Amino acid sequence: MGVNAMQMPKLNVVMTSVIAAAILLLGVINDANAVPSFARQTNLECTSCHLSWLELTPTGRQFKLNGYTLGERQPIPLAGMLQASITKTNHVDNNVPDAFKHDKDVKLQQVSLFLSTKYTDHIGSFIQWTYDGVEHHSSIDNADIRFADRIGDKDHSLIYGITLNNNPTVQDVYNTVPVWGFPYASSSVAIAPNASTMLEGGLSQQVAGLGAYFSWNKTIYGELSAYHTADKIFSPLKAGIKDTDAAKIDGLNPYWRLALQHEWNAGTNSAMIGTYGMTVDKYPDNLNPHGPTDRFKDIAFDAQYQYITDEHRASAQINWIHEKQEWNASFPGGSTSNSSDTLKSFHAKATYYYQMKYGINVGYFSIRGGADPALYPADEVTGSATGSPNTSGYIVDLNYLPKRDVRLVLQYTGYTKFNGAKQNYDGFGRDASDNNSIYALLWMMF
Amino acid sequence: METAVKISRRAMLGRSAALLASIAILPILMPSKPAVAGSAAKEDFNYQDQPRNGKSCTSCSAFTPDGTGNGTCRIVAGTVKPTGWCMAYSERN
Repeated sequence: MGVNAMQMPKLNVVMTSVIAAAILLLGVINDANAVPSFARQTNLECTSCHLSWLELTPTGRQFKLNGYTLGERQPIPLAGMLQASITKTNHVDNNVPDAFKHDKDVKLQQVSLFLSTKYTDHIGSFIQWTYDGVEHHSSIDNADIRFADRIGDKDHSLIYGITLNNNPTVQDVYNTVPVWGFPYASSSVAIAPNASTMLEGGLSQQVAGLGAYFSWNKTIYGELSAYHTADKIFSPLKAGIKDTDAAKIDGLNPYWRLALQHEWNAGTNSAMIGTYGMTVDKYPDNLNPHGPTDRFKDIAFDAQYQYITDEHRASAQINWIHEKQEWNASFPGGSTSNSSDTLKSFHAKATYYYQMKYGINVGYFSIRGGADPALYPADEVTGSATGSPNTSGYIVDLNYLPKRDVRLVLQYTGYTKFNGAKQNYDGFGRDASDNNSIYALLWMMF
Repeated sequence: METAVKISRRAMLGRSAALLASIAILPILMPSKPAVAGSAAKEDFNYQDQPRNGKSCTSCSAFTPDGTGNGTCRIVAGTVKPTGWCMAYSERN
């Protein structure tokens, strides 16, 4: 890797020092209102744009649709984020110590620096750079650079814009989609299921998407984009991501979004029903982008409701993704057992906050599909004895915000099915509930 | 395969720092200062000339009096009344 094991701790010390210096710098930059750069730019409380961060209110959605440009440009448009956490898994398998090496350890999970700002009255950005404290690696995180404008009059309006981003759905304004959906934070060391759709992180920070969006009369919201491998001039959109981890996709891959939305009672209530999707042609080998590709066709339906006052805030979201996987390259190569597969992913979540300080989220998730033993191989703890991707469970998290930019989270994840079964899913006697976990998180914004 | 991962951690950190510094300096290099007053349409934020639930622009952190009895806002464009209200309302500390 170009650096030996003796150098690693030294570099980690350097990295930690850089992060500490950045946090200190941000502390100096901040005035008494120690809030991120968008709040400084608009002079608004976090709770104007967020039901509770990071879920957007109608005001937050307008801010994003307007290209992050509302407010006054700040001389130093930076913000920071820190997550420290501890995870306890229900049952640790001592035969597979590597799978649980961070269990019950306090981890500096993530530190991020944001360049979130307006540049001109029509151009703004949300760019995140993240240090992963578990992997000891830093790279670009979500990035969304926008141009936006508005035409119309009092009775008819059209907000339209262009987005350049590195993660399908990062540009969306709703908290139903994978990038901004629940859980808003989760353990990075807990045992994770073996399957997810392409839209659920398969291309995150690996691709370049360019597209146009609009919001007409605050009633219809739509977007049409195309995604390409983040290479050449677009390579900064995957800066720091190893080539082995960066997906290579063939040509232009379409992404679309259409939603019907309505606000009433001056924005106290809002609702949305929508659909979005993407077709991706992906090379099976990230280091050899030649020859046949596998095709992923994702179609999603989502809906959201929000009720927002200072005293009580509530919301509910559902999201359903259907993915058709055509293994035109992987099946002939023997990497899959079937020539095609399907996955159906479902998420539902309900939220309640009292006085914007005490909150609870309750979520349900499931992913289902046909068995494919080559794709979902057997392995102790992380594998599936039957080659099944079927997983379902629930998440309950309690939130307490002692300050508007500090959040304490206690989250419980319970599995009713894991990698195909409730009991003995891996063929080594492990049950789905053995992967249940408790996750405690300190989450701070600067 | 080996050639693809030969970038050292030190080099990667250096490049990352350079990239960060470049994008952080961008706003400073922008030629002109954009407008301070808001650019959003009042209708998009449900602006009304009357208070709502006892809240009005005069106590909002985005409002600046203009000396004529009215004022400007960091969010919505045009003149706003101190007695007005919109859904971006945020109480001044």
